Amino acid sequence: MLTARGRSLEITKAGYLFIVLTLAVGFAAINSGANLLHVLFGCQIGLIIASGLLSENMVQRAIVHRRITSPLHAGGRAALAVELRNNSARGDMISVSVEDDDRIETSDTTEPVFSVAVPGGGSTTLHSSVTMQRRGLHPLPKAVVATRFPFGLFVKRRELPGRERVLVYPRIHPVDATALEEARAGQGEARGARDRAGEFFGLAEYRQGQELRRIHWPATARLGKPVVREFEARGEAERILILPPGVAGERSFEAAIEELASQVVALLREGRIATGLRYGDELVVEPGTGSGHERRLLEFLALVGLERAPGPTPATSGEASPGSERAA
Amino acid sequence: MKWLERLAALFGGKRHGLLRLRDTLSLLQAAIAVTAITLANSASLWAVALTVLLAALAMIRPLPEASSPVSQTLGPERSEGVGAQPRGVETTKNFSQVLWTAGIVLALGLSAIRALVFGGELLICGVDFLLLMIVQRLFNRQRCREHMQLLMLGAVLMIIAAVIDAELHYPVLLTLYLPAATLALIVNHLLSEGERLGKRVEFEVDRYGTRELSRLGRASIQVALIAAAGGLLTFMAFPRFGVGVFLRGNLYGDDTVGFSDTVQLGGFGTIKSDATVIMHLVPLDSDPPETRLTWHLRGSAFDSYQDGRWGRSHDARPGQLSRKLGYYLVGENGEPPGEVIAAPYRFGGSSGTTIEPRQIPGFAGANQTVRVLVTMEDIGTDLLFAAGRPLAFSLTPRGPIEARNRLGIDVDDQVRVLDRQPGPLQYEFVGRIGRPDRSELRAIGDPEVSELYRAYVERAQLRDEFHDLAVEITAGADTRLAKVERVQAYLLNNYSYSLDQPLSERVREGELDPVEGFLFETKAGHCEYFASAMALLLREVDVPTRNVNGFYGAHYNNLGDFYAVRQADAHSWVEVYFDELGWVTFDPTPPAGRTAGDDASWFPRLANVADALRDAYLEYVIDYDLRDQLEALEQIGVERRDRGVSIDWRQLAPWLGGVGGLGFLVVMTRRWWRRRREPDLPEVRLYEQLLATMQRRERGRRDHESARAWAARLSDEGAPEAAALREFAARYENLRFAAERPSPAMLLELREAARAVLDTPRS
Repeated sequence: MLTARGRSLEITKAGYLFIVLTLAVGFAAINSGANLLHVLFGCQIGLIIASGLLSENMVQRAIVHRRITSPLHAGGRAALAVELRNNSARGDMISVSVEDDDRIETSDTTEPVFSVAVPGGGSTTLHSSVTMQRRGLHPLPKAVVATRFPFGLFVKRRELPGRERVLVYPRIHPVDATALEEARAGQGEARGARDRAGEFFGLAEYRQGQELRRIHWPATARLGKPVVREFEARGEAERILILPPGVAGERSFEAAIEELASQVVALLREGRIATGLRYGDELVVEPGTGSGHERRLLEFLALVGLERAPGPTPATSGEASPGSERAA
Repeated sequence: MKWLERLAALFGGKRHGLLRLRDTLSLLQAAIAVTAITLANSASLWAVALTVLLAALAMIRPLPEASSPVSQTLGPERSEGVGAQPRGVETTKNFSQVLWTAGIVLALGLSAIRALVFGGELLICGVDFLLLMIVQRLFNRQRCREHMQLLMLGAVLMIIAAVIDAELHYPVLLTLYLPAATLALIVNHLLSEGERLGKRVEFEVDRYGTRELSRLGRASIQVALIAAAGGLLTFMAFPRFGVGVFLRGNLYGDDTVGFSDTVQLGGFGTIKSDATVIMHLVPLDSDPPETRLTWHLRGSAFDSYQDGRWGRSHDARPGQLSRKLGYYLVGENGEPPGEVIAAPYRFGGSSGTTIEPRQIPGFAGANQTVRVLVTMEDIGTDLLFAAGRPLAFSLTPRGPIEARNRLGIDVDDQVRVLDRQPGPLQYEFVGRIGRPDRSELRAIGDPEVSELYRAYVERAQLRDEFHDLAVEITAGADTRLAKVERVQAYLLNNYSYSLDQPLSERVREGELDPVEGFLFETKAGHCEYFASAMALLLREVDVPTRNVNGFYGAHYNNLGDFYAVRQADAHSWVEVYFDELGWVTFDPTPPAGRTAGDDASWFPRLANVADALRDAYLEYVIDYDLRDQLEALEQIGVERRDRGVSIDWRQLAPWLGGVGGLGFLVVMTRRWWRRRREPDLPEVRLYEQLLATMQRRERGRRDHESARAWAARLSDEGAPEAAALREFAARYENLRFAAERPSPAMLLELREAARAVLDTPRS
């Protein structure tokens, strides 16, 4: 593989075969002096040159923006949107892929994306996924714009000039449902106005003992079984999670973070229990519910114990967080 | 590219999308390559026919499902999982693959046996095997690998055809092949990316690929043009410093009857309507061109006749050949035919007289010679043809390997190339076309035939009636010339020319010799019958004769400035021995029978153009060599001096200027073309300039956005240009979509608005 100035050129198996065929024709042409063989030899050299010129054009024209469009937990997959823009006003950009740089050994990976053609000045958004292994603020896996255009004889790659940083939430695992039940144990269902406090969350199947006024009659009629409205604020169900102080990388500390993050997700998404977080003696996140609150908790857990102290969120510091975008 | 999709729908079998297009293109490029190799006579016709039939079958039959590359690489446990093919299908496919592999190995073995044991042409056996490989790949064309191999096989066939075929159809086929193969490579490459990057990408490529056909077509034409430019440049400029093979014409030609060791009467009748040009003649002694030459181009000669077949006896007169100054000189009765005064054409390219012919007492026209450069196709003979009586030959070698090629002389002054290799020949001959006049011939009288020439009066084993006829015709003739003229006149007056080869019942049943059948029963025939009858009748009255085969005359092609000899010009005549004057040509065939070549072409003008084109192609493309390259360089002012190069800038500058001007013209034409395609509206131009600049700033418009929406998005993103852009967008849309054309003032305002956008300081 030839590498220079952020570009690399690799010859594929078909490329080697083609080169051998070209050399054979060239040798036959020189040896025999047959003019038509010279023409064919020239055509083959022309194809190699065209291959080089066109592939260089393709990778030159590509401008890539990558952003994650769903929460990214360590070890899990998140949706990645790759915007591929053709920087040339007129020339087409054909057969371009955005792939991980396979020269770098890393366990963080993105699924490759491929575009058949992007017209001059146009752009296309391709969808992929990303998997990263460590929590914290990290750049996306190093990627290259690659093309084998036009014949698949050579692979030309161009390193992307910058790497978007994304916040990777801690690893999570399924939480035992009994823990959630324990969180609710003795609390019971709230009644009256407190039960209907907060924003409308969704519909759920009616359970014995719930107030009849919470039944959503149109949905009940439609589904043929009783359905109740649920609200974000669930009254007095509340839980403060405690994280003992530690340093990133310590096995027990990381395990605790993973456990807490899993509980946060379970409590807020499934149980919708007002959840807070105490780090050592300090209550770092007040109890609350909702997706914004979940993000705050997970952001804290993503950055806690790292060299850079948990502070303002990446979005406000100009770094990428789920849903944010930054030019490559 | 709708036509391409329609073509794909027609030939692409039962598949769809890009897969169908790839199938069609693979088939198309293979078809062009097979056509090229067939036209080069380098494949067996049965193999080609079989390939066509099997290829059609391969295209219409449903293809078995391709096995996933993932399942191939992950091993047996993966293939048991979800998505794995049923075991039965896998087993059938494996069995089919084993069968194909066995078939290929068997075919390889058979090809080797055919070439090595049965003496088949190695190249043709190899090409037949490649055709089988094409069929095999067509039957198993599920994945990109097989298509790549198909393309490689097509390329190999085109390369082989380039070596063998020097005809004009090759560049035509190459012109078709290049874009077809290029587009096939591009489409196959896209699908291979799908295979490499997984099912999701594979699906997207197949689904969206066909929508981008016009872009793919443009790209393939670009690539093909670059490849063609590479080919042209290499052809023009790459120095020919190799061994060099002269290949003017097809390496494998068609055999022509009449020039083997023995000749059965009747063969010429089959080729008298064949308009194929087999010889090009270029006179080197600057005679003014005539539209129709009337030379007898002498090739083979025969002295012995038996049972309708001419052959050569042991008593035929051996010839003499000597070398001098690059010429092979044909001796005349033990004496050299003349004095060599200049080198042959191949050494200096000079025209004019190079041989001063020997004076023959009693033969005033002995000094009338002609010097001609001949390019002869491979017609299956090693004989060289010359007009009149051949005096000298000089063979142009096809490169240094053949520089050692020698000529040899057979009996009856037949000159041959020793160890002739397949392919065309180029040579020069000097022939004596002057013939003794009647008084000179009459002066010979009717001498006794020398013992040395007894073979030429050897009578055929025919009936007495034949002898009586000869005696009757020549009754009262007191000189050899008189006998010859009597017989010639008798044949011309009493027999008619016919190409139908009528054979009497008795000849068919073997009771009569064909010549007797011609003379006594059918009284019609073609030149061979006339010539044979005359030769044999004269032998009955002790006149030494021999039967000669060759070509009569040539047709001037004013476009190419050469004379063309066609297959249909094949002819047979008689030579009569006149002692000191040597052998003299007599032609008993009626004039109508000598000019079959004139009417052989259905469209003579078109045939002339085709011949001229072919000749120009052979001269300027196939024969282009180092000497031509050096001459071309000298013409533009670059000259080789000793070991260096001198450049005459006064000569070179106009050429460089011309090339620069041409480049400028191309660029301007391209610009003009682009502008012509798009409406040249000043507001659109302004908008496009703004789009391009903003694109470079990475604040470009997205496809779905109008100008206003673009401005609104930039405003949301906090871009500093947003306010100015909103102003511009409002003006632009009002102006662009108004019922009337904008006034100059409005355009000026729009220009100012655009400038305001571009001048906005960037944060």
